[in-house]
Amino acid sequence: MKSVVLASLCCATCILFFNAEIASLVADEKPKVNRTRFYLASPEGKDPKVFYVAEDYYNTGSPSFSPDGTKLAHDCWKSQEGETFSNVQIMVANVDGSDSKILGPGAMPSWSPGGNRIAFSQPSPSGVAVMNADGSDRKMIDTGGWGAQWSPDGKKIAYRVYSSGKSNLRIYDLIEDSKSDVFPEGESPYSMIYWNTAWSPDSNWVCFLGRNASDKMFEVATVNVAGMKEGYKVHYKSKVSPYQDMAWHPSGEMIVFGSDTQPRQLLKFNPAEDKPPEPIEIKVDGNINGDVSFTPDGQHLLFNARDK
Amino acid sequence: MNYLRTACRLWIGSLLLCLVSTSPATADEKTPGVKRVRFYTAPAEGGNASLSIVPGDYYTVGSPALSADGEKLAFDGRESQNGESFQDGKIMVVNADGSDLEAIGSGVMPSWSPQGKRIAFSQISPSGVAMMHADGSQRKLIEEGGWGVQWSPDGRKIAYSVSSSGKANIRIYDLIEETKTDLFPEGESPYNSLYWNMTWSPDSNWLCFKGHKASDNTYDVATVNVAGMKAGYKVHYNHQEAPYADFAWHPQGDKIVFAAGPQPRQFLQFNPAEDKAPEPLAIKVNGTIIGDICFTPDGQYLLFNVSGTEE
Repeated sequence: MKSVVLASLCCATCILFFNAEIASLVADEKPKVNRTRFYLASPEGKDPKVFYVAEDYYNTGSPSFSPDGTKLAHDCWKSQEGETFSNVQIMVANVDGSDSKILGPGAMPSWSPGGNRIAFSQPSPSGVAVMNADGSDRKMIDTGGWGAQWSPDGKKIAYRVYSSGKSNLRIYDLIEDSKSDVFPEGESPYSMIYWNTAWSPDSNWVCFLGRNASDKMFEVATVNVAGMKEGYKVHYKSKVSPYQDMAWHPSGEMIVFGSDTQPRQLLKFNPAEDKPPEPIEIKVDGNINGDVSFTPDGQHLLFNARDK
Repeated sequence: MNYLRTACRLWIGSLLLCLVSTSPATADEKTPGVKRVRFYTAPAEGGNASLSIVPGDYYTVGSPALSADGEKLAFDGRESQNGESFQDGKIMVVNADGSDLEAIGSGVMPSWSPQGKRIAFSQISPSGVAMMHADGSQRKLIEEGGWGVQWSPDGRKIAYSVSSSGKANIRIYDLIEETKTDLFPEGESPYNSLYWNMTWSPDSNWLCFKGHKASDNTYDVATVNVAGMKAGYKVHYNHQEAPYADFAWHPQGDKIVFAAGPQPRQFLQFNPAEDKAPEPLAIKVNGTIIGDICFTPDGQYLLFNVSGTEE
């Protein structure tokens, strides 16, 4: 009987020890390190909880759920070891935190609808590219492009380009193998269009952050991908730059982005209305960074925050 | 004043001469009695056919495909009267009014992308399925050994036949995901031969094809779901004699047309949603129906090739 009790105690101790090990792998319980963590809250900002931390990569951003909701892709680097954006890598993990993998150098991953491929921005040589979801078969689409985002219907990839001293949004059509710019040549109002734009769920619009060349103001705007003459609307203007990541709710009625204030807040607006963006009340033990993504079912908002 | 009148007459006369001298290039008025292949159109429900396009010096033409906007016709052609054979096949593009006939490169069985900017086709040498821009540039081989490629109406996929270990299969290449899947599970294809010029359903979910079964040495006309045969597979026609290998699916989805029978061939039609045998589609035309066929994008007409003298 004594030996049975002893064996049981040993067993229980092992299980506790093992569970503690697992928890430290996926939930990063290392005390008081200054790093970014991904949080999940309701679209209204309720019940924020730590969702995912990327182990040894203390700087993480540009989260993107695979359309089936089973995987999260993001970019990352080991800021705690002195790495900078030039070391940026693309990481993919299961949404339960398991099976995280580095796919290779790159930033701002964006999934194809079937989850078989990822569009991304390649730091060197610089440009927008696509690869298989396991990191193989990397193919450059446009050198000089930046901030590639795959349309929900899969047929197009949007990214920023420069021409004639102006910034433009270029739409690459994968089916027709054609490229078109949403602002006619010489008519883009922007000296700079930023990365992490967001597609509307119907794949007809893109929301982006741009800096107006004439008044130097920053604008959050939506534009029709058939060209600005089909539709173009500025929703928000600011002297200080808001954060350059937009998330468009799957219902189409809400766009979220990070404010130009410190500490940063997340703001939301309905692109069909003419109301200014309103804050989303989120209480989290950290400073909101501004990288955002909705879960494919629209039930949750994912964002990153850096430890205080 | 007389001088002016004479000048006007001369100008009108030279204009008419100019029009007459340019028309043979598109309407083949040079040699109206010559035996060759021409494209005709007829109402989708059958009736009298009328001459549509005479493809210049290309006396043998087939595999017609109208662009989705209906403005251009692509087909394959060769100068058979000059001894050219299948190996010399070229992809031809012409405006729907017969103007601007152009050979854009070697190949057969063209199929348009939805916006008409690209064409998928079968490459003769090296043999395989390929695509190119509609001006003939940017040729890219998709799969060596594939044959008879057709672009889905939604543009996402192309379908073609492949063969391995004595069995034939239909392979779907997804242009967005860059994946390839076979419709019959490995070893389960009933066909030892699958033919070219398949056709997609308008919703891009089904394919209609002709296959030869090794088991009983007969030919099937069948439809299969592009998610795989387990999602749907139906034989609509079975015969010991081979029907012609070209199918046209009406844009409304309720009619498939193909040619069968001894020479002169007849067009047959069936509704893939029904369990009725294909019925003849009566078309009156001067010449012999070959069997290459497509619908106009609005579904109003059939376009097909006919061999004859047009007399």
